[in-house]
Amino acid sequence: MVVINKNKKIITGLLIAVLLLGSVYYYLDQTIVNKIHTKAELPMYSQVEQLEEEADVIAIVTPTGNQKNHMEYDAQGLPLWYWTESELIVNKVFSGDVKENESIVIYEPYATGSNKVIGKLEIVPEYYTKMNNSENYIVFLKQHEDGPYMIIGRDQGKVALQESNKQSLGLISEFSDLHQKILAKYAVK
Amino acid sequence: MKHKKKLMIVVFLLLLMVAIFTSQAYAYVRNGPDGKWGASSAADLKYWKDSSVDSYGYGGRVDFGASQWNEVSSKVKLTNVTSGYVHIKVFAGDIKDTALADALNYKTNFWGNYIACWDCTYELSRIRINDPVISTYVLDYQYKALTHEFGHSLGLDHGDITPAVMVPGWNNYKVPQTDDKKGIKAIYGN
Repeated sequence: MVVINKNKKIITGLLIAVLLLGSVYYYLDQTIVNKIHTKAELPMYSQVEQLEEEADVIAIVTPTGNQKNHMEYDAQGLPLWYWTESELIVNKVFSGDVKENESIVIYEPYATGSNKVIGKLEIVPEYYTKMNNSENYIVFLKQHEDGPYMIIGRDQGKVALQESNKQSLGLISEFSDLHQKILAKYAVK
Repeated sequence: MKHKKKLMIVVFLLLLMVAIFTSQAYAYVRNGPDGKWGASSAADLKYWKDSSVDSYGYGGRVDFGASQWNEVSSKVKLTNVTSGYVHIKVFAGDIKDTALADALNYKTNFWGNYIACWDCTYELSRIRINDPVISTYVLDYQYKALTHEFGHSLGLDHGDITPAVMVPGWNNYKVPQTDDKKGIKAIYGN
């Protein structure tokens, strides 16, 4: 009788330990995010006209929050081709073949994947700031042959109109001069 | 006699201070994180081109970009291989972004998994060529983009001193310039 009680205690203790370890692992796996920046060769723009020349669409848009993460791995299991498809609502059109209140999709150059062992890996390229849902942005877009659009020059062709996104607004960005010129030309129209 | 000795010590100390000051004033200041390849790896870096590179027609531009860094330091050598152990892998495809190409470096962790990092001792580097975008630019800018990405693979960050191949954007330089060379020498030696 004493032996049975002792075994019961050991099994219960082991179960609790496994549950605790599992919970801790799950929590860490969901919360740990290893962020990494890729480094790229990117055309640099100093004038609004340079962006305008390349843009298929110039508009004020709002991200809806509808997104699709895409991540393909190479033979070693490392992220190779990745992007996020994000839905935007067009609020105001300055140029291009889109209409107000139309929903469009853009390719954003970041994605989330597995970090091996524990946690997640988030690849966000340099010169790109993720957009905040429900905030307004002036964007210079180039259409990809698949249909969705791409933001020209990453943060260069994207200016936040809300104070909350200081970095994208250009106040601490290295593209602040260009962003100020964009704001001067388009934000008051 | 005593005064002469004191004077000599003071002069010596002054000269030493001037030497230290000038060497610091002219020392190369590296941009960004201070990762690099280990010395033995750097001296024998092997790069490999995925079949996508040749199928898109970028093989020559990749070889050009890699070979430019061989002339910079005797401690750095890049060689193309088709099999065996590889340090730098090059792929071509569609990044779905407006960049011409990009790079990402890795180390291995305790369990042997590759972890992306820039401020570590590199064990692998991956370069991606963005065909839909790079193909729209002049050939010299395409060469520059590949030289630039191999610069990242070696640990160089974007420069802000021109002329330099590590300054992003087309600036008429497709081979390493003085500032790029200083960067490589600061990391790996002459």
